[in-house]
Amino acid sequence: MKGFFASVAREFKLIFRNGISAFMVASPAILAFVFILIFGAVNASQLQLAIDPSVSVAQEEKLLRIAEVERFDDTAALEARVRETDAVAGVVMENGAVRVLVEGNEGEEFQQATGMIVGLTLGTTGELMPYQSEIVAAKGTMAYTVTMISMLLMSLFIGGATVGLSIVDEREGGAIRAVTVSPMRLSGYVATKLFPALLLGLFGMAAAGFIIGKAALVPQYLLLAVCSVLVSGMMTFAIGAFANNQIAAIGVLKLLVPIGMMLPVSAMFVPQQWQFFYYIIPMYWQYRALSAILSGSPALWYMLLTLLVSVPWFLAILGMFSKKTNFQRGR
Amino acid sequence: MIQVNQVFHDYEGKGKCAVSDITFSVESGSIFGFLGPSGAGKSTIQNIMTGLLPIQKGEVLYDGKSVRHLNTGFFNQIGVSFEQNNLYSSLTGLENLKYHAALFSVPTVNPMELLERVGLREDANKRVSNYSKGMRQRLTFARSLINKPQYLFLDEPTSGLDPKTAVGIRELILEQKARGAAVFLTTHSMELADALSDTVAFLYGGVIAAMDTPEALKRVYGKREVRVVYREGEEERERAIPLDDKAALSAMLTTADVVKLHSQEATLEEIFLRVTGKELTA
Repeated sequence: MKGFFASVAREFKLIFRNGISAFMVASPAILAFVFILIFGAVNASQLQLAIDPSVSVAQEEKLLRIAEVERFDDTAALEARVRETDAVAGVVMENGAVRVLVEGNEGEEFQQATGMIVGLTLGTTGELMPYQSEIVAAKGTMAYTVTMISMLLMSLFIGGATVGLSIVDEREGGAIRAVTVSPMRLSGYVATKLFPALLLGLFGMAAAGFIIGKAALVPQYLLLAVCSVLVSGMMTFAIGAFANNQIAAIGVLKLLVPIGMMLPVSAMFVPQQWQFFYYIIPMYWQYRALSAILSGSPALWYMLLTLLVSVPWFLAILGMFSKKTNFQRGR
Repeated sequence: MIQVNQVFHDYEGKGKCAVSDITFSVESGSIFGFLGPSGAGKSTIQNIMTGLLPIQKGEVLYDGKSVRHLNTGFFNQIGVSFEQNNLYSSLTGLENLKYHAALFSVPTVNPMELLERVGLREDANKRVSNYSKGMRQRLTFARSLINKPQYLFLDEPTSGLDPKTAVGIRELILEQKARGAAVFLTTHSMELADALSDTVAFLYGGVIAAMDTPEALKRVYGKREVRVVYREGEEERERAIPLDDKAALSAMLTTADVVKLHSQEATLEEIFLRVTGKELTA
């Protein structure tokens, strides 16, 4: 175990002392920030509201004290405004109660807080006017879904890729040769690579989940990251096997990014009857799991399939790695 | 003791062996010098001996136990210093040694002690990327000693070192021999091999062309004669006298005005040239 912990500690030292790897580790969080800038922020500094004629002028004046307000001639125009990608909530009065319309792609806190603030503002002093939140763009747009899933797949991909680059560094500098003549077995070496890749995947998924305001889904994201550990391992050891220097690694990454991210997302555009072609690809099951999580459907089965389908791929890639590096499997 | 018996290795499996019929042994507490030009097959043999390459034909035994059946415990007993230093350049010298020490399940040497011995104490906390070539070489060598190995493989351990540091490294190698390690030394430096090795083998074209103690090789391949430079009048003259011709040698030394005496003992370099017809170059 001493060797395991020393290797994991060394792995993180190598990652954080390498500018490119450190940037890669931070990239899921950076992407999540970019994502909320495009698709609506949880923490918008100024509340933006859209109202229709059901909201009186007196009520509009009250709302203006807490938010920027746009008035629309009818509810349809108001809903169209709410569906746009920025975080604008619609306010409609119905039978003395407030209906708050949100797009549905914002964070959960945004939906709850907006309803509460609007209810308190329009109610008599200290009293909350009854309100109901309603999502107008039920499942989100295609662009939203594709971007969200790609970003989360990227978070899973980054862990494996970062550790893969560290193997390339070991191969390029020759340090791996010293490890191959040490008591460390191939299984031990693999564990010391998978564990950091898993930790980075968990970190990336958690960071992305919290930043985009989907905190409630984070436990499921983390479970998916755990089930994806061998997919990360596939990336790690594919990079390690096929690249023996940093330039070659960039070439391998160019190949792996489409395989790891674009290929599974492409399933979204393929008719159901042809989807079976994807069944042997573990990243496809990652995509299915993410889709299920985002739509609130059960995702556990897809997560288990991710793990199961990745086993033969992982072993095949590990075999190639072992051959390329003279790391004897039998040891 | 390490025994290498009739080892062959064919990388492509087409009947063209990189090394053929290699047989030698390295006693515990001795140094075996393995000499040969690039491409002769030295690395192939070392890789087979350290388990990096599977044995195709022949046998390698460590104290009677075949390398085919060696488990991870075996790797606790070997130390390997590669010619191309293979260190983690983002880590410091001390971190490199500490990390490597953590891989062993046997008592290890204090890394700072080793760094001191190879003259790197002051630079222990510098990243290896800032080390010179010689410093890296010394660190690679120090790393190979971290587990007090019973079998030590050294590939060009003094390459690129200044004479003073090289002397320090030689002393360390002799210390390993003194504590009973079997040392397998691969080098191009005939001087190093001559000074340290109990036995040397010349590897050329994948086969051992000659093998014996350095003294025995010199006896066999050297000229048993003395070249005498003496003054005759204003001129300096030279004459080779066989060591067996004691009367002629005695007469020369007692009657002539001798300026210089040269023994005609062959160097390992000359012996290699004579045996293989090629110069031993990197």
